Amino acid sequence: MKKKNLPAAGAEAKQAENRKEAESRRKAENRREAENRRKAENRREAENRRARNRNALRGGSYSLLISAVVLAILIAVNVFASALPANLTQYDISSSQLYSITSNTKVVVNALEEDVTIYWIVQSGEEDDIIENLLSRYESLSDHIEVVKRNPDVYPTFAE
Amino acid sequence: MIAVLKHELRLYFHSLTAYVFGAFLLVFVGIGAMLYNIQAAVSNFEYVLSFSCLVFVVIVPILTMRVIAEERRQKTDQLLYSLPITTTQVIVGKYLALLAVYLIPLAIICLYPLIFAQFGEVYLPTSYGSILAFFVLGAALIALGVFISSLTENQGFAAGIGVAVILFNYYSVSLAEYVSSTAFGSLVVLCVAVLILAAVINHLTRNENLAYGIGFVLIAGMAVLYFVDSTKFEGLVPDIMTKLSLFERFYAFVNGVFDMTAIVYYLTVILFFLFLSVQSLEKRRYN
Repeated sequence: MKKKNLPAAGAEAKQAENRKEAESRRKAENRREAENRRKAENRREAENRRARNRNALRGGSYSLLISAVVLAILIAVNVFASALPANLTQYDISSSQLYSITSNTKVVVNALEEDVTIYWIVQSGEEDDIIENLLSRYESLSDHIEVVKRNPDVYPTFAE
Repeated sequence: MIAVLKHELRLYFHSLTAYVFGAFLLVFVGIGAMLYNIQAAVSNFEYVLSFSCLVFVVIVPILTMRVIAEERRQKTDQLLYSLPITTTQVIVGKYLALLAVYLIPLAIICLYPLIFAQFGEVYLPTSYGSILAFFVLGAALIALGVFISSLTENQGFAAGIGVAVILFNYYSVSLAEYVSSTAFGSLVVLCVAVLILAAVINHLTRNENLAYGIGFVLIAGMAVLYFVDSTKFEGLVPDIMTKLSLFERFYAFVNGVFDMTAIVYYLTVILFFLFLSVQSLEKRRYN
């Protein structure tokens, strides 16, 4: 500021001060506004996140539940299928009819009048597929035949 | 569904995928036929199939790796969501296209027993029964591959995981002999499985309380069962591994038993994994 304008200087200074004050007020206001905006944004975001989580909970639990139901149904179907008698589910397609029972055997088995128990002595997990298949066929052929598995590890003296 | 099927078929036959898949399958079955039927002069074609089912470990992931993963990477899956058909129809359409690609080399393989029958006695029921089982086995593995592809948007990742899972399934019966068959070992393995399940629940529902709750209840239930009757747990894990093996059930057909329970098992596996793929696609709507 120049020296010769001194009388006016006071008024000018006041004006400048006023201006500065107004400016700082405006700035503070802006700051407050920005802060408010940020807060609102945060709030909105949190709400969004909560809504998303709510969606995830609803969708996810529905999806899990229905998957569990489907899995249970499919397991039940499998258990039911494996519980059916062997002559309904397993067909012999081997060239020497390895798994089929001849008509002579069928005549003998159908004429049985006493109960017959076939003891199959085998370690658990070592069962032969062919024998297992054949025995289950015998079992389903007649009510008088019962096949019982005996594990020699569990009953070591059974065969004596 | 038909539109998706047509589009996928065009995609497979305009790229190399279908040809690479078919070539691999035919080469492997051809090598098997040469080894068993020509060099060893065995007239059983089913042995060739039991030899060549190992090839699924490589070719099924090649076929299925891109089916959904690529859609995600290119963001074209958003178009699938906006189609006027349900997600189920999209998945079924894609799956049928994969089956068609798989059936073409199989139709060629179907001629082999007839060709061999010209030069000797081939027992055809076993051969064709085994080919049918081979088809259903492959179909089940393809369904598994579709599900794995729907989990990620990286093709390579989908293929890697697919190879690992199918290889594990292939060897699971031999591995079952080395897995701990004691009751405590089974309990530990099942607890780990429950923890994984809880992690999946947490990922899907974004709700930790639910995941902790279900995990805790299941583990507590198993612990109680273990202390009441620990014999129930003996040999449980090897048993489960043998039951889950897709390949083991196929060998019954090769041995000359057409086992309907195995067919039912394969069909349920197909249904289950296609269902999971639908759920996996639906997941993007809410998560």
